[in-house]
Amino acid sequence: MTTVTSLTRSLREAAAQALTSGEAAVVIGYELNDGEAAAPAFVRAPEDAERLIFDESCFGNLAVYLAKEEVRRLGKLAIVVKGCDLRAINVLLRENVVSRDDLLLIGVRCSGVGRPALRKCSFCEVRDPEGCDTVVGDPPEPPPTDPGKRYAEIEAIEELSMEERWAYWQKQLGKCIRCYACRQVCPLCYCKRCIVEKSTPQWVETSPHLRGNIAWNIARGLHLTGRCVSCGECERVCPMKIPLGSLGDKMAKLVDEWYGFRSGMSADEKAPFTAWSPDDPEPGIL
Amino acid sequence: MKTDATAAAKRELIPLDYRPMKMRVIAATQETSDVKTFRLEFCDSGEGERFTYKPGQFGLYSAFGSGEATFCIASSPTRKGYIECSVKRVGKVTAELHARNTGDVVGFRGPYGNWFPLDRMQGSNLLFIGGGIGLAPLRSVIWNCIDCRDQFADISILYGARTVDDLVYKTELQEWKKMQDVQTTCTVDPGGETPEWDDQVGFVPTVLESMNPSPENTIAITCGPPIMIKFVLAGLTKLGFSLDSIYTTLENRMKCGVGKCGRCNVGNKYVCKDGPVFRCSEIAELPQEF
Amino acid sequence: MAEFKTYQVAAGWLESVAGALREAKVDVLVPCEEDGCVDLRSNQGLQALPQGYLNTVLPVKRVLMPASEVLLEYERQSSDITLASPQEPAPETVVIGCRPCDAAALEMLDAVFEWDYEDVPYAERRRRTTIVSFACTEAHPTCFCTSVGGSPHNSAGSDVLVYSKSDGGALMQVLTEKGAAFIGKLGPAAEPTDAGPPAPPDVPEKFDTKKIKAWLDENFESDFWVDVSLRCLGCGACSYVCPTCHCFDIVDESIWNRGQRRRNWDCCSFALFTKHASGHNPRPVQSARCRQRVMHKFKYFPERFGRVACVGCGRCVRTCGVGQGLVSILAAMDKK
Repeated sequence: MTTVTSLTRSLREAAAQALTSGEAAVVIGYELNDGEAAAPAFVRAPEDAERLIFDESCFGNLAVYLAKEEVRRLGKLAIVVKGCDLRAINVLLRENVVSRDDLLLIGVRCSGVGRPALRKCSFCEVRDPEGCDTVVGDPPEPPPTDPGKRYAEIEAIEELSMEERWAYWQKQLGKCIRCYACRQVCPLCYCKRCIVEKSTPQWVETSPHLRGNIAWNIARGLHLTGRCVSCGECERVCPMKIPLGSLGDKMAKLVDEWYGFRSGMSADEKAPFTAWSPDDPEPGIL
Repeated sequence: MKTDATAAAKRELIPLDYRPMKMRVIAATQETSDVKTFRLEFCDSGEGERFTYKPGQFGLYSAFGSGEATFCIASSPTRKGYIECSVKRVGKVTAELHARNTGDVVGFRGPYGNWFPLDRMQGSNLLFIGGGIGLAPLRSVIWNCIDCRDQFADISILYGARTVDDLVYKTELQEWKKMQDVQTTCTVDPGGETPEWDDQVGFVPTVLESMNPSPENTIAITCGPPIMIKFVLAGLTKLGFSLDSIYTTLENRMKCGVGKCGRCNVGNKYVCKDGPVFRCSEIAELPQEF
Repeated sequence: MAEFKTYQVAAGWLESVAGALREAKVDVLVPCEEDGCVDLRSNQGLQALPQGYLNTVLPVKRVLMPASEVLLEYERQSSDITLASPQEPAPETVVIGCRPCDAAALEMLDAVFEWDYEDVPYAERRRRTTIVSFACTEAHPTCFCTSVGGSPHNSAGSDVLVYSKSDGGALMQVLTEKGAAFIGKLGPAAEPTDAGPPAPPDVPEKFDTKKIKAWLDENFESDFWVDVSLRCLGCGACSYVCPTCHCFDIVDESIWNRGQRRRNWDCCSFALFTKHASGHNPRPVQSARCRQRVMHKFKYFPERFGRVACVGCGRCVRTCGVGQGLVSILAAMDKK
């Protein structure tokens, strides 16, 4: 990337300003790593704000760093967010993982990332992120695809019979090598001890055989139901190219159909599986 | 370089298929509320007859269904026909092992690791300093030395635990106390004593200082919680001991026990291959990552 | 010691030798593409061999040390236990289409798995596997074999090294007895030749391992590790796709009173890798774990076995979800 866009300039100014004024101790953003593509950056000195970039290679969801101890102990966090990343932050806020007062949100108006553009970008409704402390960038173009088509990708699987679907998932999950890249990249998988790491009893077998893999991936899918914001990072980082996004999208579709709820659209939302009040129409297990 | 069976045989490699030997529990002693000592004999007497080890070595003990865990061989190789291990119940495998009783079968792989070089300690005074469950690896050496008593000069044992209940090998401590040619001092942390307690009260490093042992021709062997080792080393150094004359045994999380699973290294040393017995002078050169 | 020769073969050699091997009930693994992923797959129709593929997603180590394998089976009956070794021995296997970097890694794995104790499950598979590597005709930007003492024409670890020709034929260098047996399956189609291999493609060096070792020797405690590990997610992707990484876990998995003891891949980047049952963890933070990975590969392994534990295949660079990989860490170190 040789030309510095006005968006990048505004971004660097906002970051430098936050660091100089002491509003933030570190700005989590993107920088070029070894030339080609963007990688997460942790800028602590105002003069280093020049390292920050924003371009089509900035597909990482930086919200994952908000729950990491080593990052949190650096001090007050400022974070560069696209609309999809902000959805994950909204879930972190409503689950009290991080407090809004402890965050400086630098929003970026985004017309899509990825070369070629990522599938999720074609129907994105959050191109202009709301609720940030600062927003940089020009008003984005509207998405080329109707957002109502957001679950179109999984229709091909839904059309399979139950036997065919089971065969499909056995084949896909059979490839899993249990690297946990999907879990580690997910902003919402922040458990200090994952269910797979519990040994008394061993709820989920750690071996990468088919039954262990099915247990792991389904357990993770269930633990994210009603929470997953379909950012697609899990699928992007999977070394074996397992269509993990489909699992998240399917659960998101069911929650949307049954509860009229889509996760992460605001920090004040009441999620079906985590919010409870005494006059709940469905009191659940109580 | 290719691998083939004849080349392996030429290099005298020991084949390892990770299959444990079957051991039968012939005695199980509850030492403290969470420590149990097992005496094991080989189910296959031929394996038992061929089995040899040296004090300080360890093995991986299996509770089939839960897994394997690493413990030193706490008995002395001078006593044939069985091996012993002392297990503190802290998790899944140790809980399963604690549930084993006389007659049950467990697994054992070993002996692995290096050992205390008793041949280099001949004629020296030996000072054993143990804390808590750390007495287990020392016990192997202590009994070995007592069984070969005339090879060593003075033998002193200083052992402490948090409370009277936490002292392991209570019966043997009494045995050692009764021996004329072994000096044994036991201590519990302040507040850990009972009305009947008639030995020292104080942290092990404090009692060590008051014992004022001479470093002259003396080798110290210590094992216990990291904090105790830290202060014991400081104390021994103050008394004039060189790090070269102090031995300890390290522990780390292990799986294979033979340097292949990549887990137990401290710097470029594998605790399972270059240890677990180390001189403190060696440890001083390692990155402090343990 | 027999003198090993070089042979010339014409187009169609691959189908013919794979057919002959399958007749002999040998498992033939070749790179095949499926669902966007190139990996070693068994007994595929040879037309599936992707042209100009970079490398397989998983390294050839997985043939010798699978992601999960059964070490033994146990059954508890009252107080006694019955143990049994896994029934099926490793099959005779030929890997065709390995890259020289992956093959060179096998020499490093051999060093570890034959260190005083011979790891029988690994050694059995090693004895029964023939490695037929394809020399590289071009370098990918993520390749760095030449920075770690390798090359696109490296013969280390291979039984046969194949230089493919544009007409579908190939030049084949036999390197071992197993390689000679493989060529034997081609019969008269393999003609001995004095022809030499073509020049290797250029692979620019990205760092100097001597400089790195010298820096590592002095910098165990350094803020560098904290800075470089901030973006690391602590997953196992880089280690699992690495041809030389070999850390493993041993677990028991039971149903009622019967079960299997398995050996599974593990990774030093995981938070629980070194955690003691007491709760103490010698490497409690990601910076310590990142440091361990780099130290092991570029300092501890060379100090013990005489070579760096890296073959420069570039998978860590391509696989890392946050754009890290060894090259960026080492290049940063090289500049210090």
